[in-house]
Amino acid sequence: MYTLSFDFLRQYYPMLLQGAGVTLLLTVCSLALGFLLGIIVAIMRRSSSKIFRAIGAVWVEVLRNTPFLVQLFFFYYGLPELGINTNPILTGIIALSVNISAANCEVIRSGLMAVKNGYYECAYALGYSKFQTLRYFILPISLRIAFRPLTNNFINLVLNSSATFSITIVELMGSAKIISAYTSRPFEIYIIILVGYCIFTFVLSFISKYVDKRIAINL
Amino acid sequence: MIEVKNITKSFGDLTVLKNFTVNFKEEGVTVILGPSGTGKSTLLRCINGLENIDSGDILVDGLSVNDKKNLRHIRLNCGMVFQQTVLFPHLDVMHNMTVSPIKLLKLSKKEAEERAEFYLNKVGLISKKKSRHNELSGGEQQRIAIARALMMNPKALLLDEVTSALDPEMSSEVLNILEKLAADGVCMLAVTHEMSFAKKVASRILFLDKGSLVCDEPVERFFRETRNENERISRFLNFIGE
Repeated sequence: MYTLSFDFLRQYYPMLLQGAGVTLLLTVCSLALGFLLGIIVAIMRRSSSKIFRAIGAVWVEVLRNTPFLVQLFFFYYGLPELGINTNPILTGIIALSVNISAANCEVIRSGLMAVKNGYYECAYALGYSKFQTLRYFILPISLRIAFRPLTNNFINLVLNSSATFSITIVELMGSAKIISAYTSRPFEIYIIILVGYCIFTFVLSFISKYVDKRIAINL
Repeated sequence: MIEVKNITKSFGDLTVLKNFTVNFKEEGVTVILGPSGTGKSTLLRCINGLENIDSGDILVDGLSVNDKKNLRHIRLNCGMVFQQTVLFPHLDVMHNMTVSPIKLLKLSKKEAEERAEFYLNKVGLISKKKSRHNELSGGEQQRIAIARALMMNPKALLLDEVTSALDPEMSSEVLNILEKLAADGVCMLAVTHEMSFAKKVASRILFLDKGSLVCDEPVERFFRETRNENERISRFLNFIGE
């Protein structure tokens, strides 16, 4: 009969905390960058220019129809070939941001489409340019509409960040793998990691519900 | 102030305005009447540059709407209020009022708020300055929309059936405000089916039918004589119970 033992934690908890810190760093940076990229691509997909629409569509389709691990390796091995030398963490952030930008784009685009034409006309009639209309009215309204579905993407981002251990990043999953090798206690360590990811996503979900309540609008 | 010169506007095969010419001076209230689909709203939207015209030109203060560079100046000078009120839902009433003067006229926040309070008092809604659009009735929203347009100090207000989506009680709230503004000398171009408003406030009536100007008369003459002289106008007024 297997007996669970978490005694190794006393020795290895600093490594786990460090891994959690790296996961947090990856997530927060990718969340911000992926959000910005998502807005830009969503605007491109709503553009009157065929070229911008086509670039946006190709961006989304390629990213949504390829595995994240392949994208991650593409950046990890591809960027140095292009003469762009990055460290694994930066590569991880780029890969996660680009990956989530496709999902964010589609959610933000649906938010943009939900904004009534009257808001555009009203802003134009007041004297705002197209850019100002988007900046001051359309984006704030559409992002409020899209906020809840966006938080699902953010949770996926946290979960996807675990794949970055495959490019040598010692984040939560990576630190678990190392501790597991040292202690031969894989079952216990992965229980801890499961709980760790749950805590991450529950906290994110709680914050997003709170923010959503504060910014919700009735159209 | 506004010169509409021989404009034509079509939507696909449907020509809404045909070789339409009219001038508006910077004074009084002009009411634009006519059956639905005759181009009344389109005329206002063309003046404001919300619709591109197919031919002809519209000059506002001598600036052509055909030149996109003039649109901001034209729109700042011609405030527009729509049939369906559009208060920005992510902003409360005060921010709806002050955002444009701050962003576009570069007023300070304090100046913009003082001006907003003046106009909110004028439309009787100062107590609602912290409210959101969904906490206001349709009539209140429309009064705020009128006040918001006035915040930009336009030379003319373009009113596109501003009461048609409201019940009679709310309509009268809005019309009372417009009467007050007219008494203050605010220049207005109003598309409306409110004949009592037209009779009471308008100085001039334009009647449009099938995209053409049928008559352009002072209000007294329109209701006293023209209606008897013109069969189409007579039919229209009789139909709406005037």
